Amino acid sequence: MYDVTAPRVLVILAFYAALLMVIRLVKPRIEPYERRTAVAIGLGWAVPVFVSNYLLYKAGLMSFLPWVTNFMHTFLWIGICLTFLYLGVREDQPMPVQILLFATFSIIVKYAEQLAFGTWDLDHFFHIFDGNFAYVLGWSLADGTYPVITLFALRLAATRIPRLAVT
Amino acid sequence: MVSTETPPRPPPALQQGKTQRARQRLAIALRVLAGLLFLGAVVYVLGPLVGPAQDFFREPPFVSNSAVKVTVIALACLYAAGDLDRRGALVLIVIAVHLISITAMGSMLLFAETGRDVDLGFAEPSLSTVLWAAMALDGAIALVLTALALPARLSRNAPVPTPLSRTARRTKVFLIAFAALFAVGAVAYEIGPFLNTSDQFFRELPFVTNSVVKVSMLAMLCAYAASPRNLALVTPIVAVHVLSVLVSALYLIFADTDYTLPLLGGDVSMTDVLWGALTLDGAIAVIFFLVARAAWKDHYQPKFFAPAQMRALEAVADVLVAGEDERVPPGDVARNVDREVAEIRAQRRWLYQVCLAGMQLRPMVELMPPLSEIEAGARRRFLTKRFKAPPPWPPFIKHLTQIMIRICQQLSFVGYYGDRRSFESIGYQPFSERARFADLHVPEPGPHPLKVDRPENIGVKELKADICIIGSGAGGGILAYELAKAHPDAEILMLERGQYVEPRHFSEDEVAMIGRLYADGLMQQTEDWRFTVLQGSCVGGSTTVNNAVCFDPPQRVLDRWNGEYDAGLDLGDLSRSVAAVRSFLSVIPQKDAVLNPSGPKYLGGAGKLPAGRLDVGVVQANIQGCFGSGYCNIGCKWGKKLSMLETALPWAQRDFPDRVRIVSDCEVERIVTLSGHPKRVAGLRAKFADGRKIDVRARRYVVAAGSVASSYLLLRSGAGRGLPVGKRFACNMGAPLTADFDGEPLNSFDGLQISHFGIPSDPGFVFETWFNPPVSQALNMPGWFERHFENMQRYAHLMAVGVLVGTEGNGRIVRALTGGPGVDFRPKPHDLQTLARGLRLLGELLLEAGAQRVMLNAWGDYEFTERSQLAKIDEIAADPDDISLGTGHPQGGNAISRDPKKGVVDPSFRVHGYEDLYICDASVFPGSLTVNPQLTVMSLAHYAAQRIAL
Repeated sequence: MYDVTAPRVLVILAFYAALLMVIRLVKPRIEPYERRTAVAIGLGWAVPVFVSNYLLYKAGLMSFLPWVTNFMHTFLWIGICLTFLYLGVREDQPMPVQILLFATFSIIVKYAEQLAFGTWDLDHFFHIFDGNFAYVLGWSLADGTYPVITLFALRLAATRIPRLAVT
Repeated sequence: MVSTETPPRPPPALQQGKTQRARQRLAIALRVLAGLLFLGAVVYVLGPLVGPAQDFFREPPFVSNSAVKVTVIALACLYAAGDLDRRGALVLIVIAVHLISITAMGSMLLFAETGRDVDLGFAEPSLSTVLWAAMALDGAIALVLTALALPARLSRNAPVPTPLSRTARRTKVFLIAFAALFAVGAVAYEIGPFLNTSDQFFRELPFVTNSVVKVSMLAMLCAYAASPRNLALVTPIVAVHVLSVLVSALYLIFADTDYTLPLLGGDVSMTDVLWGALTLDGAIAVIFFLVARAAWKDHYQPKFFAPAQMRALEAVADVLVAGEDERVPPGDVARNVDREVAEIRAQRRWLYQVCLAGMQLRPMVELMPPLSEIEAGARRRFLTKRFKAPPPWPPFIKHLTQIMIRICQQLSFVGYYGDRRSFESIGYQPFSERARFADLHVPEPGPHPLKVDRPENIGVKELKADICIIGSGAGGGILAYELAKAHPDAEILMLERGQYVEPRHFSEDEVAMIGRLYADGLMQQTEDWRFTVLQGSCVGGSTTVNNAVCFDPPQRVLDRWNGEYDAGLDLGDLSRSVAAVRSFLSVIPQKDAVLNPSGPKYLGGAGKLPAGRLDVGVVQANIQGCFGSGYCNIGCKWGKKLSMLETALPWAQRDFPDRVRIVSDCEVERIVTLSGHPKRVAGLRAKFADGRKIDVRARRYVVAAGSVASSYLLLRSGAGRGLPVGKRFACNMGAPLTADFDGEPLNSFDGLQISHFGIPSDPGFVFETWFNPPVSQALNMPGWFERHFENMQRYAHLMAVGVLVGTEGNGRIVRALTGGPGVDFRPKPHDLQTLARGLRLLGELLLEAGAQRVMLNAWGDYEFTERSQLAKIDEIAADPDDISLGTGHPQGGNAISRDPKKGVVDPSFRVHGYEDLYICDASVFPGSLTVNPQLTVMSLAHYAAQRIAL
């Protein structure tokens, strides 16, 4: 059903790398004092999303993501690339811009993965809106909430975990 | 007996009155006609989309032309009505275009096929009936306008022959060329229905004639606008082409355009025709806009404002600065303002642009032309009715209009009184031109000893130090010196948002110096724009621009801080710090200085008050050898004011070589906090004035950026979350009384700006004599229009005294919606009552001193000539919408308290919950002082330096 082959995986990895290069224009590197925060954000998103993707598939609300693509999407894209993006824009961009940025990057990546693997192929978004476009767009807009959730989650985590860089 | 003689001509005045009334009637008729035409435009626009006559409106391009036609005629009517003297020719154009319309329809009736019926939805008359009706209507309009125009004696003002610039010549040629093109277009529309190859396309004759009229009107307008003095008429041409684009787009989206019509031997799709019209009109709009913009830019040479804003500014300056002997033309006022605003560093400069754009367009809501197109008298009436005395409801709109006119008034005064040409008329002399200047043998200052790194000298992306101090003012300066002394090995880094202006570069140009030395160039206002919050923003901070007046922190205030707010200050230590700072800065009574010439009047008046009501004297200040230039508030060029710029900062670099580094033009945007117990600061993110970002790392961070900026920095960084950051903002609220004395000029500008104080037996306020160079004085001068102008003409005979009231801490610093910090403060009734009490006593003092009148700076026009009238002050001061208030002493926001619920910093000035973040400036005051706060800020900095350990 899905076409997950090594060359296609490499193409998507290259695509992630290209997007990361773009993201790094905003923030070239993660400062030493931010590393702990970056790990917290990355793992804090990757692990739950990896699990949620499968559970939502079982619930019929998401299309299946083969384990390799699920891993790539959650750990490499969300865990690394989006963490970089968030740390780069959280201080300088107003929240609406951050939301727009995350939603835009999300829809780009979803369509790229769909093109490469055939994933993200469900035809409804929570049975509220029909069609694959609604599905991809709906989840991309949902991904736009990343900076809002991260902001508050990080503030909450900072009350327990020391040396997190919060804003 | 019937006289056969010609009746005598009425006397000129009577004739003039008749003409005036005729003009008023004509103007009203034009505005009514414009209103009806705008309604007609709405009908045309909606015709193809809704209603029963969609079949009649079936050719969208012609319908769009019809909407444009009525709109452009309506705009011409408005422009004509606004200034019949200047724009009388437009009435003739409107009449002419109606005659063209009649001619076009007449020719259709004579030569085209008009026998068929048209479906109007409610009736089905023949096409000829519709055309006859339209002709009758246009004829009636032309007749009425002619009948009204004749007695109005419209004359064509001959243009003043002036040499045209290259741009103006090009514009003229361009407009004449387009006039010809539009005329050709009119002919093309007219002959369309008569050709076999196009008669099916041009079949809806009423709309075709509308199209003829539209392009004829545009042709005449282009020809009219070709004269440089009529360039403003390009705006309606652009506007109607934009309208055409919008209407075409609307039809493309919502109307049925999916059909073809025969034209010139082929079939054309209506969709394609609409796209073509949209593109063509869009291109015309852009080209006209660019040409007009280039012409206006050539005229004004603006650096910051758009041409339309410059016109608005010129128009408001023309009426707001009103007098018989105006020395600066309104166009030059606008140019002065533009030049000055372009130089200031303010986040909210765009508000000026929005305000001026709003002023320009506001009259159109009432079927009047843009403000700059209204005749001066009517413009003044409009500003008076709609802005000076705006309708009370809705309050939001009322307040907004008041803000707009206030901004326009301030800009006008800045442009007029900042211009040297106005000085002679008000009796002002810059220091260097005063007679005594030559006798003083004032030396020209040399290079300043301070070493300051400007952004261009810094190539690294990270700065490191042991202690980083944000701000270089009263708090920061003393901290730098004392911390360098207390920690012999420590490297101190000071980051200053403002510029480093060497004192030798201080000039007598008041506006330029305000722009360079003040936060937001005087644009720092409270959120409701009722209250100006002055703050220096330069190396040396507010100490560079304040009056250096020193008062010890009042004991009753310190007791309240330690009692009610649990500040936990060691008052003994603090007292020693006060003494140390006094000694460090040589704070002395200014008895030997060149005191303000108004001082004797003030002291004389105070002497006539009942004994014991007021303790008056000469202020103490960190000033030595003052020349009395009166430039304290725009920077003392000669180093006589011992500000941080002259003392603590250079002395710290001298006494602790290579350990105190100052970086200017560097705004700290964020404090990066690491979580934990306690929290730590990971670093600072700062931005240079050139836009580059830089990281800063230190072992200790001390925020000393002033009440507003310090609180805002914490708020935007999320630092101190859970603490009352930005709360308890208070100030020494000030309002001046200006007194006018007959006789010899006082020349209050020629001496120390603040030289005398007064402390009443009944506490709550203090008096300070106070006078400014012309711009600042004009901004605080009561009165509108001629009244303000006349008051300023008395400048040399005036003195002013301010009442300072320490307010409650009911304000707060917020993140403003308009960007940057916002000051949310509205004085409490109790504070306003105290202010009123102070003003009444001061009024008595000034009248006793012999003032002929005493004026209160308020929205309304208030002056008092007798003591009995002073009771009214209670009523005026009770209304914060009326009385004009301001402060140069913002305080609070990060109160000091042992209790984290009450304060942001603990008694060692460390932010609660942090290991390495401190605040030390006026923001730590838990309540206002009432007296000038600089000595208290410096003393607290001296006190805090002993408590900041590495």
